This record gives sequence, structure tokens and C-alpha cells, in this order.
Amino acid sequence: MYIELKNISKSFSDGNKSTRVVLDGLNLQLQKGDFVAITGKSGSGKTTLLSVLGTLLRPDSGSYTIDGLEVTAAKESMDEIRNRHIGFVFQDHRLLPQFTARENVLLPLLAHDDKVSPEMDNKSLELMERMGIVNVMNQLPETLSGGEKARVAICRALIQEPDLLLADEPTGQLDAETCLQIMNLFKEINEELGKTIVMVTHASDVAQVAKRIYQLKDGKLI
Amino acid sequence: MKKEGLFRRSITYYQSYYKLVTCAVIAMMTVLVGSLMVGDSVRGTLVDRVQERLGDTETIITSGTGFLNEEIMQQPLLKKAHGYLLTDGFVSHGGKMIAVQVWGTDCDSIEFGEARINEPLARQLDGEEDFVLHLPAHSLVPSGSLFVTQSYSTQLRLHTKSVKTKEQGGNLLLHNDQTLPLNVFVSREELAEQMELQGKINLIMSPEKIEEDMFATAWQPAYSGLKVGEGTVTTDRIFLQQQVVDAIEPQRVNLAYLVNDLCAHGDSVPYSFVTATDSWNGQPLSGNEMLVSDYLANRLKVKAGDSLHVDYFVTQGMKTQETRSQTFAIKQVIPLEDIRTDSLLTAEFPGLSNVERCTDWDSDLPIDMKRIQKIDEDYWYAYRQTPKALVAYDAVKKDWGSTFGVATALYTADAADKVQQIVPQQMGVLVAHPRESGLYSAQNGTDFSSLFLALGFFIILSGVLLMQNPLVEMLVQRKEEIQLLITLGYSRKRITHWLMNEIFTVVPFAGLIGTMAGIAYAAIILFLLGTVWSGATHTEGFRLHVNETSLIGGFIAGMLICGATAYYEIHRIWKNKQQKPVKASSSNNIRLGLFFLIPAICSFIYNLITSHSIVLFVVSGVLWLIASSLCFIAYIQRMAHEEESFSKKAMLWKSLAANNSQVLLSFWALAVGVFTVFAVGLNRPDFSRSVEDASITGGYNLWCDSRIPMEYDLNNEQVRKKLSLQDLPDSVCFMQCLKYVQDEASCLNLNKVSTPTVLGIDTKDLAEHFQVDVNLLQRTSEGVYPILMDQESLIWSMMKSVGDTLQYRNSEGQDVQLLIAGSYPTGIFHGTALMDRNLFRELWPDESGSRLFLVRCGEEKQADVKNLLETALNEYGLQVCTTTERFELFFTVTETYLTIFLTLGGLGLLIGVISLVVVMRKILVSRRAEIKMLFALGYSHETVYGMLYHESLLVPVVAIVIGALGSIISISANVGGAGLGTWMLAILALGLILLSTIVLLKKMIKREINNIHF
Repeated sequence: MYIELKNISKSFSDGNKSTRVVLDGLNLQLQKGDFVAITGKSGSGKTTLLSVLGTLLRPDSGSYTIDGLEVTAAKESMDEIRNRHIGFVFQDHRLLPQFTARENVLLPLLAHDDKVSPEMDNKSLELMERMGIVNVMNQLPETLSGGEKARVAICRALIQEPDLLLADEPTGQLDAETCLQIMNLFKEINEELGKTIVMVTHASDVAQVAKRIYQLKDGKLI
Repeated sequence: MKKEGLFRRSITYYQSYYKLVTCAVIAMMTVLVGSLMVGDSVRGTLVDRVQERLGDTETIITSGTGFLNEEIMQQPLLKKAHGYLLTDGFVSHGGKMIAVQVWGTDCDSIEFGEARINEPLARQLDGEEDFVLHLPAHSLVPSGSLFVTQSYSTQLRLHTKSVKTKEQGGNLLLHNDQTLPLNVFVSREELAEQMELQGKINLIMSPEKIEEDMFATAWQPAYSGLKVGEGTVTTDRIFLQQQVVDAIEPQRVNLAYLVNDLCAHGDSVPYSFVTATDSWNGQPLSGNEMLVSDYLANRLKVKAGDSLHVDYFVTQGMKTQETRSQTFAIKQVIPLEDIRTDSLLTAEFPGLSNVERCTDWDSDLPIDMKRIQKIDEDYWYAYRQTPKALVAYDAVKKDWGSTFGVATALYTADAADKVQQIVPQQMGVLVAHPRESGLYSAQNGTDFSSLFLALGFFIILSGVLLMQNPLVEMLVQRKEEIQLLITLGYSRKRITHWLMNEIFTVVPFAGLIGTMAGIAYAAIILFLLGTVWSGATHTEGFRLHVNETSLIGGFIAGMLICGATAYYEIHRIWKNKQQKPVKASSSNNIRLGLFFLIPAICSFIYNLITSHSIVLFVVSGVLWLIASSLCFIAYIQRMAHEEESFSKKAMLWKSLAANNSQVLLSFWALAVGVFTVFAVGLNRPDFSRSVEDASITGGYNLWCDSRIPMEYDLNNEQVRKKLSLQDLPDSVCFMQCLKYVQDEASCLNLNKVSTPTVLGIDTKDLAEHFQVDVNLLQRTSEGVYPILMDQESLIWSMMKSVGDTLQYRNSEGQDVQLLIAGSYPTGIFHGTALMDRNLFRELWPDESGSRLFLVRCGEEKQADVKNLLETALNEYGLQVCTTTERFELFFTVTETYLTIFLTLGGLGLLIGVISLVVVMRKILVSRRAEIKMLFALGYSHETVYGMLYHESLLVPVVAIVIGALGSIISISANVGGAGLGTWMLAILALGLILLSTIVLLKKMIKREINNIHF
């Protein structure tokens, strides 16, 4: 799978009739199995870049292609692309408090179906076992530790076997030891499962785990 | 894993919101379904009343003002039917007169001297078993005729044998009215004997459907009293009507009459019978020809060729007699014995024919007995009512004939065949199917479903708001969850679908509970309508009727409302409507506020000084509401920016200014709600001012209902002497109305009315005293009978408009159309149709007496005149009330509905307060970080509580005050209209709303502060 962002620009209005350019002619190419870290100061546009990559935001100009095909022209809808080909991991994990860990993991499967098949159910168990959280699978998020929450969020992002995994400050709320564990997990996902990962972080030591590191500055990747 | 499991999990997690949603849905559904149930139950009760009123009766056959012979009941067609002698009557009890219906029946095993009464009458008699029943002194001769006896009423002393329950047919009533009748059932034989109607009935009730043509084949003219002899036709009601004469086309007509004087050559013979005829012994009589008996010729010393002068009374209506004269030329003197042999030359006049002496005559005519000499008594002894002379029929037909009849005997060759041509309707015998019309009236009457939906509108609206607010708060809380689902690839449609499914896991259960509660609500409302709120219905004993269609329909409607509300709020998430702070544009709001305030003040002052127009006061109230709201918002904004130093006060104004539009929406909803509920609920026209309005009462002080028709002109001095009313001041005057009794079309009758009671009124009186355009009552074309109806009856009771026609039957059984030519403001004639008296007499000539009269006597003499009338006319069963009391009856209906609106509206506002508190809580929740920071900075709990409390309280209190003041402005024209009780209710409601606002806010703020943890 080959992902290319070409000449991407994105601006936002600040409510006072002036606009702020966040991404300015940005270019990025990703091959299958790439592990890219994006660093930059707060407000540099990292989350915006992830949102564009994750089809949550449309760029004002430029093209976003997957295997040479413009994503907007794809047969699948944006929702389906996001559901089946892209996985998100957020800084605050975004676990739904009313669902158990296992249910949070299975959530993406109900985006287009009404129930989870036994095969997928088993798959989620395997994934959670692999992540080391099968013992907490029936607990609610409020009872989980930070690391456990992060693992649940990663399982959820992987359940649909996406081609691209996007992580927005995944270790932002974790202690150093847990942070290391999670980063090793990401490395494992990349090397053993062959997932393309784009990770946003402002922590340089976290970024070192990646194969390539970019800095987002003045709307461009350098 | 199934999505249903996830829904349940979410519902449990967000149960605090769903609890509020459940309460809101229950409240809304209770009122929604309950209102439909109320309508169904009122309708069902009216339908039940039809069953009570009619029992198993499918067909009724009435004889109008005439009667039928009992023998008709032998007809096979009527083998299952019952014959009645039905009449109005009254009972005196405890100093009051109780109007009753008297049913003479032979199917209840009632002996002479006994009676069965129905339950409502038993209650009125307070257990008294013996009573005197007063009845009209009927005879077969119509009471409006000149030749009736002096007594108009008679009595029966009765002992109550038993009480007839409604299941036993105790509540028989032929009119479409839900009020329970007061019935007395007596022996038909005894009643007939007392009323000199032996062997007669006037009503047949059959459980079988009998059509008019079926009945016509079974009916014989003899049943209606027509007697056929050898080429002759007479009637037991003495006078043969014009339509009978026209149908028979006789060769010869006789009309017997009592004349005052027969004069010639200075001599006169008083009070003699004379017969008008058009031939004698094959010789025609025409022009002014007369044949005198030899007896008369001898007494007056006249012969053929002489002139003879005849004086006689004619009636002008209301027994006003005028003496007229005619001079005849004597054609021939004939032997009295020859006249005597033809018995058809005379008639059996009641009170005149069956006595021994002239001085024993019992007649309503002003006969001066002093003029009767021995020679007259000798004649009477020998010859009785044999006529002393015969005159040409054509000469006197116009004067001696009347609407009651134009002949006393007819001669025709094929009498039997010709009489058979007469149809029952021509004799006033009509067939009707009261069950069909009764059910139609009951099912199409006042729509209580819509009425109570409107009255409970504020509860429904508050329920929707109460449902909406926690939903909104919950959705705001779940914004991140929703965002996540989008990130996970859930489409907006799917998320909406999920949320709707989740909400609709709860809502239908709440809806079902609300539906059940709605049945209880309906039961309570029905109880109140029959008791505390009976002023609106004048009915007791409403029964709950549960209609599955309404239950299901109400449930579905409620679900649709809930669904629409939920969908709308979810949809707003996609629109990403951020809760924006109110922009600091206080100057704009001030300008707008002044734009409305100046005209509000000016219009109010102008109206106060000049016109006192209700509409203008309402407009002032609305302008005030808008102006003061805008000014309040502008004031907050201004204070938020103008505080020079940062203080707690400044914090208050800045926090208020930062309030989102949800608070403003609740502010407006509460202000408008308070304004509407109180402006409508308290806006009662001043009753005392209303009755001073001449168009309402016409300046008449007393309203008199007479159970027995008053045949006399009460404005006539002689009549007043005759009726012991000579002590009435000369200034007292009467307006007497003829009455064709049908259904009551006033607001007191919940049934739909198709044929209201018609009053025949002197249009001169009407024009002089009421604001009515009497020109509309003039007939514009043949066969058109214009009437006027009051506006309220037209719209609400009859659901008709000006230009529509109403179908009636005249006394000959013919269909006639009454045209609604116009309407008039509702007053004391509410519920009746007004017609020119002359046209009335054309249609119903036999309704000659007035059963209703109005009295003008001045307020100061009112009590004395009332007493005098009730005493002097007690034999007529007179019920006298003031026109004020009469109008008040109708007034209480509107008053009661407004009170119901005030009560239910107040309840709705209470629910609205809860909704407001939910909004306030939502804002507090969103400010938890801010509150935590205040604690972190060292603010005490009490200080923070105080700040939040004052901030939260200001908006609803100002909203309530603004709304209340606006409502007072709008009702300025009618401040005195709502009684003390209503004002107390309003103040209590307002107090409850304020108190509940304060208490709920206090509790909510305390709880929120205590919930904050670090």
C-alpha cells in the first residue's frame, strides 16, 4: 500500500475574519510497513495532519492518494475507509465509559453491522491476549490503569486490521515505564504485523522508536 | 455482542438523564392520552344517556298537539310498542317549583293515586313520598281556541309507589340533552281522566324500526279523532283543520259558533249558537244571507227580507278578543225543529254543551251572565246548543275560522273514501327515529378531546421541553463519544440510528406508563367535570370510556412527538450548533426594548383613559412582555461590561452575560408561559357590566318559564285583573314569546344540536330593546322562514353558519326549511332561534300560548314583581329568575373553562420550572472546572453557593415577574371580572411556581457543589 499526500494545504478561520494557515503545501509519502513519527511544537498542526490522513478533515487543496487513487474518488465512503483501513489511537484513549474493555475493542465492528460474528469475537480475544489485557476484558474503563487503557485503545485500533495506524500522542498521559511498554508495542505492531504507523508526538525519545522522524514546521514536513 | 446490549449499557450509564426523559414522557403522554380519553368518555357518556333516555326505543310516533285513540295500539305493527300520554307538569316542593315530565303509562302496574318517579326527582323531593302533581287542563280542543273552559290547570294527589331506576327506564327523555330529566310515571287511565282525554294517547314508543310508509298503512284517520258518518265527517277535537277540509273537498261545510248578540228592531238575544253553512236543504247560502229559526223570528219580530245584526268575538291571538259585527239579510224563516234534527249543525263545546243551565257555562269567553234571562234558560233547557240561525259560511269564514279549525262538520258523498286519502302527517302524526338522531348528536357534540388538549397544552409543551433539556445535556456530554464513533467509521446516519434506538428503548416504556396514567388522569378530570367543574358541563355522572383507537392513536402521536424532538436534537449535533455566549450588543437590545416599551406604555395609558378595549390591553401586555425581556437582557449585558472594578457583583453579571441561548430560551418560555396562562385564565369579562349591556338583556329584569302555556296578553289591563295581577305597576311590561320546543342549543347542552328550540317574538319588541337587525327576520321569498341565532350557539353547539338552513316539520307534518339569516351577540336568548311571531304561527299554529315571557320592571321592583307573579300564576307552574341569573348560567360555563385552563396551565408551568432547573444544572456541570478553581483559590462553600444561587435565581424570577405583570396589563379591562376565588387560585399558582423554582434551584445547586471532588 502506498499513501501519498501531495501539496496539502489547510487553513482555519479564527472567528475574526482572518485565517490561520496550518498546513502549507505539505508532502508525505508512506510505504507499507513505514513507521513515521511527526514532531513539532504545540499548535504546529500535527493533529490537523493526522486528521487529514485519517479522512476526518478535507484539505483545502492538494491530493491524498492511496495506491495512486484519490481517496475522495474511492468506491468506498470516507466512513468505510476510516473503519476498515485506518485505525486511531488518541492521547486520552477515548474509551467509552459505559462499555467494558472488550466492548470498546469490538466497537469498530458495529459501524456497519448489527452484531459481532463469533469469528471476530474470537479475534478480539486473541488480540487482547496478545496485548496482555484479556484478564481485564470485562472491566469498565474507570477501573483500568493508564497502560491498560492504552492497550485497549490499541486493540480497538487494530481489530479491523487496518492498513494505516494513526496515533496522536499515544503516551501523553502515561508514566515512563508504561510509555516504554506502549512504544514497544507499536514497534511490534509495525515489525511483526507490518502495519504502517504515523505517530504524532512532541517527545523526542518517543519519536526515536520510529523509522523516520519528521518535524512539522511552518506547515511543512522537514 | 449485540447492539441492543450496548444500548442497555448506555441507558444504565446515562440513567440520570433517562430518568428525566422518562418523567417528561410520562407527563406529556398522561395529558395527551388523558385528553383523548376525556373526549371519548364525555362522548361515551352522552351515548350512554341516549340509551338511558330511550331504552330499547327505535321509533316514536307523536301526535303533535292532537291525540290518538288508544285503539291504535291493537294494530299488529304496534304489538310490541307502548302508548303514553305525555305532558308537562310541575310539582311544588319546599317552596320551589319543580318542572317535571309526566308519563301516563299502562305498563307499570300503577294504580290510581300512585306514581313512580325517577331517581333525580326522588333526590329533589328529598324523600318526600306524597306530592301534588300539577298538569295542564287539556281537552281535545286546542287551548288557544276561544271555546275552552276557564281552568288551565288541574292537579293529582299522588303517593310515590317506587323509584324507577335508569335501567328500568326511569330517565326517559325524547330531547337530545344530557341533563337528567325529572319524570313522574302515573296510570295513563287516571291521567286521561284528569285531563278529560279518556281513551287518548299522544306518544307511541316502539322497539322496532317502523318507517313512515309502514305506519301510514296501519294508521286510520279515526285514530286521530276523525269520525265518519253517512256522508259526514266530524272530529272529536270539535274543529276540523283547513288541511282536512282541503283533503276532503266537501260539498257542504258547517261551522258552529257562539255569538254575543242577535239584534233587530232594537231587541237582542244574547249568547246564542249560530252555525255558518254554505247550503241548507239543497239551497245554497251565500253573500250575507241568513236563515233564522222561527223561535228567533218570534223573539226579534223579524221576517224574511229583514236585516239582522250579529255581534261576535274574534281572537287576535293571546286571547285578545275583539267584538265584530255583521249584518245579514234574512232569506227565510225555518222551523227550529228542522234545525234541531240535524245534529251536525252544532258541536259539543267543552264547558258549554254539557251543562244544565246557561249560568253553569264554564267558558273562557267574557260572558256577562247578568244578560241571560229566564227565556234564554228555557231555550237552553229545551234545545241546548241547537243554533238559532244559519248564516252563509263565506261571510264569516275569515272571522270564525282560525288556525285551530275552519269547520265543525263536513258533508261529502264519499266521505269514507275521501277520509282515507288523509295521511297521518296531515293530522300532525309524525314518525321519528330518535336513536339515530340521538346517537349522531351525542357523537358529534362538543369535542372534549380537542378542548382538553388545548387546555392541557402547557403541560404537553412543558413535557416536551423537559424531555428535550436532559437529552441535549446528555448529547453534549457524549460529544466525544460521538466523535470517536465517527473516527471509527460510523456514518452519521448510523450514529443517529443508534442514538434514536437507544432513546426509543426507554421512551416507549415511558409512553406506556404515561398512557396508563392518562386513563387515571381522564378519570380524575371526569370526576372534576361532574363536581368541582360542573359549571362547565351542568352534568353529573360522567363515566370513563376507554377507546382502544384513541389509546393507540394517542400513544403513536406521543411517540411521534418524542421521536421528532429526539431526532431534532441529534440532528443539531451534526449542525455543530455551538452554544455561543450572548454577544455584547446591549445597545441594540436597549433600542429594541424601547421600540416596544414606548408603544406599550402609550397604548396602555391611552386605553385606560379612553376606550378600555380588551384587545388593546392584550396588545399592551404583549408589547410589555417583549420590551421588558429585551431590556432585561440588555441590562445584564450592560452591567457585565460596565462594572469598573472586579467584584462578586461583576462576577454575577459576567456569568449571566455568558449564559448560553438555552437559558434565554427557558427565560422566554417561562415568561411567555406565565403571561399566557394568567392573561387567558384571568381574563374574565366583568359579569355585572355584561348584564348591564342592553344588548344582553334588552333591559328586561325577569325571565319567566311557564310550564303551562299562557294564552293571555299580560300587558292587557283586563287580563291582569282576571289573573289577579292588578297590583302590578302600570310601568311593568311583558314580552311574551311563543315557543316550539326542540333541543337546547346553549352551551349547557353538550350534544350537537340540529333543531334548536324556536321562539316566536314580536319583532317590534325585539328591535326596540335588543341590538338585533329585525329586517333579517322578514320573509324574502315564499317558503323561506328566516331565523336568527346567537353566535356562540351557531358556532359551538350547532356548528353552522349564517346562510345555512335547518330542517323542521310544521304542524301539518310537512318539511320546512328555516334559514339562518343572521346572528346576534350572545345574550339571554342564547341557545334558541328567534323568528317573527307571525311566521311562527304559520308553521305551528297550535303553539298558541307563550311558555316564555320577559318582564321589564326596574331593578328596584324586581323582587316584588317576582313574588307577585309566582303567587298569582302558580297554577301555570311559573319559574321566575332574574335575567342576570339566567345569563350567569351561561357565563359560568366560560368561567369554568378558564379556571380549568388556569389550573392545568399552572401545572404545566410547574413542569416548565423543572425543565428550567435541568438547564441550570447543565450549565453548572459545564462550569465544574470553574467552581473547582474557586475552591482551590480559597472561596468557601457558602460563598460559592450564594453566588451560584443568586445567579441562577435571577433569570426565572425575572421571567415570572415580567410574565405576571404583562398578564395583569393585558387583563386591565377585566380586572374585576375574575372573582376572588379565581384570583386566589392565580396567586396560589404563581406562589407555587416561585416557591418551587426557589426550592428546586437551592437543592440542585447544593447537590452540584457537594458532588465536586478533587
